[in-house]
Amino acid sequence: MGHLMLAISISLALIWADGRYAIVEYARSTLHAVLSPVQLFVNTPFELADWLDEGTTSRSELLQENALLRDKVMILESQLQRSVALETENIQLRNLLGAVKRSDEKRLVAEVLSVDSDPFSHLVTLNRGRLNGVFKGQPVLDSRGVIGQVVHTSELVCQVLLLTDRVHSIPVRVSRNGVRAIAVGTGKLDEMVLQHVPDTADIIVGDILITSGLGQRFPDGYPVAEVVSIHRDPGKAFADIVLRPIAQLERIKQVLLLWPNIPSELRADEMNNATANEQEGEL
Amino acid sequence: MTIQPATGRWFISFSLIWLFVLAMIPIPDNLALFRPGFIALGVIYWCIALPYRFGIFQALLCGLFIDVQLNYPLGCHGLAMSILAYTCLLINHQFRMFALWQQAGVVFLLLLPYHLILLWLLQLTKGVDIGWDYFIPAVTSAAIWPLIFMILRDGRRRFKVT
Repeated sequence: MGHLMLAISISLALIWADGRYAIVEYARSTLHAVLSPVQLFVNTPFELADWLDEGTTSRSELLQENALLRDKVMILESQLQRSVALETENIQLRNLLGAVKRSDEKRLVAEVLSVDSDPFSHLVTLNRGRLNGVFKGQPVLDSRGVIGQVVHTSELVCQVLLLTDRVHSIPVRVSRNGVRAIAVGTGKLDEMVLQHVPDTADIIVGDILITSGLGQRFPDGYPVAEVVSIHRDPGKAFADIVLRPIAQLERIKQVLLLWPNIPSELRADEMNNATANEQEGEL
Repeated sequence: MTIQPATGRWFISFSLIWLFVLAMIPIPDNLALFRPGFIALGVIYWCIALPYRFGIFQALLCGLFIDVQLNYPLGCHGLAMSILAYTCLLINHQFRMFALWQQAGVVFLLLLPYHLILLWLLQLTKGVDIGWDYFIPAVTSAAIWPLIFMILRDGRRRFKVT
């Protein structure tokens, strides 16, 4: 009985202190460091299957894929040329207005481990951890848009809460006119809702919502969700607005971790690599 | 009663690691609701089989690991597991007398308060309402109990865990 009372007191103290004191977060990441080898072990067969799959792809398939990817790179590069011009123009305009300059961002590709967790929450585990500089609250994207944020880190892995989790909210604005709102997860992988939007707000079906940069967690301007339906009931204070996340949350495999306000070395590196390759090519 | 020297204690940890693996293996989302609480079953088994080796604090530790894995506030599963372990220690003499199917029924009854405590804590700390789905694992856990019981018992006998 004494043991039970002690165990209950420890648990209640932990529950109360969780999120209040750094020591609990430290305890959690220590426990996670013990648990993460098991998670990596569970992931191994799936990684092996991927590897075998890659290893047995035929030459013609590879060539085909390669051609497709080349085309895609070509198109993306041509778009990048324009965006570089736009970016410089944007910086100049911002200078003229005296507005704060937008800073560049460092990115890192991470893979989602094939590990399940609670069916009632939308949580994924990534194969990057504190050793890679991952921090709590870090924004995570896929190639289309925001997918969520890092909630816990350990040395080797980190846990990411998806946008659609019941307890996740993200400040957004409508890209068309800048109307601000908060998008909240519903517990379904393809659905979010906008909270506390007045009936008269100028939002229409098909509007794209992007991060507003408020809340200091997600940087400004990344696509989050699309409006799929609006229900305005005169009897209610707020409109019911249903959204669909733009990122493909049900099939995420590779994601990007973002370091806002840390200038990326990517461009400089790429330039160097490109010139180095050219030189090799010449030789 | 003289306390026997501990042997084969590694098998307890080993079995619990495998139960954690079972709890993490990815399965389709619509089946995930039915996944039995493997770790809770392991805790029940070891509390019944070796009450002098495996007790409330070991159960608490298992619970904390589950909290980390599922991103619950640290201590939720810990609390539920401690109470589960305590009830198992209380009834372990009677429990051993039961036939396997009766044991499965008792496991179900043991897991109901376990899930109820978790549901309360979840509503209290995160403010989310999940509903009756939350009790499905209690049913599937009871259904799979005979299998888990036999595997763990065979392991315990083979490796002479005392």
